[in-house]
Amino acid sequence: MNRREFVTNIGLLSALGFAPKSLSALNALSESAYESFNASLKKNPQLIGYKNYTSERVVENLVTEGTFPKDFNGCFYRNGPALFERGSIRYEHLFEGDGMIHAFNFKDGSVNYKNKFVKTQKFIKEQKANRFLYDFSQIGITDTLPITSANSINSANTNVLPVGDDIWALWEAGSAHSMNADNLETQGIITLSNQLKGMPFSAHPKVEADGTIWNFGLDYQSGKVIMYKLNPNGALDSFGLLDTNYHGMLHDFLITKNHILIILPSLKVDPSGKSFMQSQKFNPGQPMRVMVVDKNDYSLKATHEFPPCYIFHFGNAWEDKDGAIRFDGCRYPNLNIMDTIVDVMKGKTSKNNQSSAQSVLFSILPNGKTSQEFFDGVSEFPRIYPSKTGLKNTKVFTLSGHENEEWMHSVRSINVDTGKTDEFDYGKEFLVEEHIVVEKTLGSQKDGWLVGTALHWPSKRSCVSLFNAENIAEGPIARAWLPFHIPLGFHGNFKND
Amino acid sequence: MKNKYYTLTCLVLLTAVININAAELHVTIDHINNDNGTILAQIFEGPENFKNGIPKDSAMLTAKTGQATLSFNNLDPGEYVVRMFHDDNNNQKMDSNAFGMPTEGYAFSNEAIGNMGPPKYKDMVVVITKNDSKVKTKAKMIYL
Repeated sequence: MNRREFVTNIGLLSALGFAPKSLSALNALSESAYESFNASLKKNPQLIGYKNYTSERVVENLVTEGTFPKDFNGCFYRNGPALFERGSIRYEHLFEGDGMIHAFNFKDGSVNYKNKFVKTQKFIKEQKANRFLYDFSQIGITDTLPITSANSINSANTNVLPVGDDIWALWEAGSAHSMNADNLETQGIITLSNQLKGMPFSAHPKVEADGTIWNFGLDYQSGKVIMYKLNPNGALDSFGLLDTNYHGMLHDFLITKNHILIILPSLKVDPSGKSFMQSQKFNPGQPMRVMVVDKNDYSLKATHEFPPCYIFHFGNAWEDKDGAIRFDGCRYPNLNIMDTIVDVMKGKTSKNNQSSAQSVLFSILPNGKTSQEFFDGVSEFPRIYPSKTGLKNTKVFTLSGHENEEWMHSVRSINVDTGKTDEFDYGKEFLVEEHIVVEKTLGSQKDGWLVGTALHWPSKRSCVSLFNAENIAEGPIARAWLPFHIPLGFHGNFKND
Repeated sequence: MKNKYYTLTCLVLLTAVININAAELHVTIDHINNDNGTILAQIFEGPENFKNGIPKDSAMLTAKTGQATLSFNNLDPGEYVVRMFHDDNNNQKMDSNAFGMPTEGYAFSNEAIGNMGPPKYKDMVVVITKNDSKVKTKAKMIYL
């Protein structure tokens, strides 16, 4: 063996960088966020949903209004950031909070609840040290540990997906964490294969009716996207790579029967940004690109462009018989929503006229022409009948509300064929979270429940409500109350018994 | 002829002096997380050689959970960087994932650890002076 050659590819270490980062000076410690948020909370009780939260609890037989159907059995899991503060330091970005899983278990008409933090390596180390140890957003945390990979700061706070007998806690930039579906104990990071060790497995997998799981992950530095196909039990079937030349946030993606859609919003990276999040800038001259990838061999088939916009979440995509591709998403005209998200962490609830998203149906016709159809009203957190993932759906279910508000107050469905809506307004005393569809009859699209949580801020309690998905306007069939509030979270899924 | 012998004698003496000044560098590697395979290391003299990937010497040892030490000899006074990885499957290359991130442990002299990227040269460098005969440095193995 040539001793001088055997370690030459240690040069791979230059690939260690995974996020743009400015070397510019640190700014002041974030006691200001801590102080300003907690001062605002005293004046504005609606902010309770963003309050630092550390309790892990079990509550049996929740107080209910109405009657939960005896055939509605299973567990509704939700994930979201909960721990925002250690000592007198508060994160300045909502997305950094440590993930907490909430589980509402429905059995024969009764509802039980439990919650636990995802015990990531970050959480375990910081819990032991009793302080924050990583300063990803450069807020001036001192005496920190180096961030040697994205999983160093994986907070597992974005979504939770039942996979086989387990649940997986998901985060955009890092690997999935496996948890016990019953007791919510964290079992560890998922490694799909040695070649995929430490790879990002983002937070919006798409699960087809047969259980096949598709997902993606972005390498911010190289602009490469990995696309995964997993068996229903979570084992790797195959993966493919795609060069996108995109380096910004990439939250969601879509599949159709034959294709994967990697949809790149109009973001560019500003290298002068103090941190990764602050380097994300809306570029009004940059079209949204849709890269159409073959599901069989991960080859790029075409790239299409739409007018500039930003989209966190998509509802669904499908192909018409003539090959036209259609998909919907909650479209922001810019990235001002990020300012709102940052402001609320400091307790600021300033109105922002352009922070609302609107449901749009995007079409790519066989001749390559594109079009957009806008649906009225505010839309976010879109969901569909799960078995229609990648197939033609009739309805998309979204949260809604009024323009210029920080959080949503209503839940609705939009018929994407007719534009007809079916909406229930919880009222301004409720801050409404993602509602998901649970199918009674697979594939029918006419027979389902809609289940979701909401925070009733005047009483400082959270509830879970069940609707007839085909008659939302009549209000909840039943509602179960926790005797306390839980933090406003992001996404969840249902595991049938 | 006499001058020739004189020059040769001087050269021999000079070489002897240099050899006397040549130092050893001992690297103590911590946080090795398994007994599989081998630790492979390279030493570089000066920033240009490091930047261009031109090692001065290499070393290897059988991996052992916990701590291990390897050393380099005959080092002239100067700046040195040692980089190493834990070749736990003994395929004599540093394996990486599909995005090029190392999937085997790696470490640098001076306990340098990168923060959101590779460590800086100045954080890895070990200086050997003409007065040194044995210099010690530490390295922490980092795994994904």
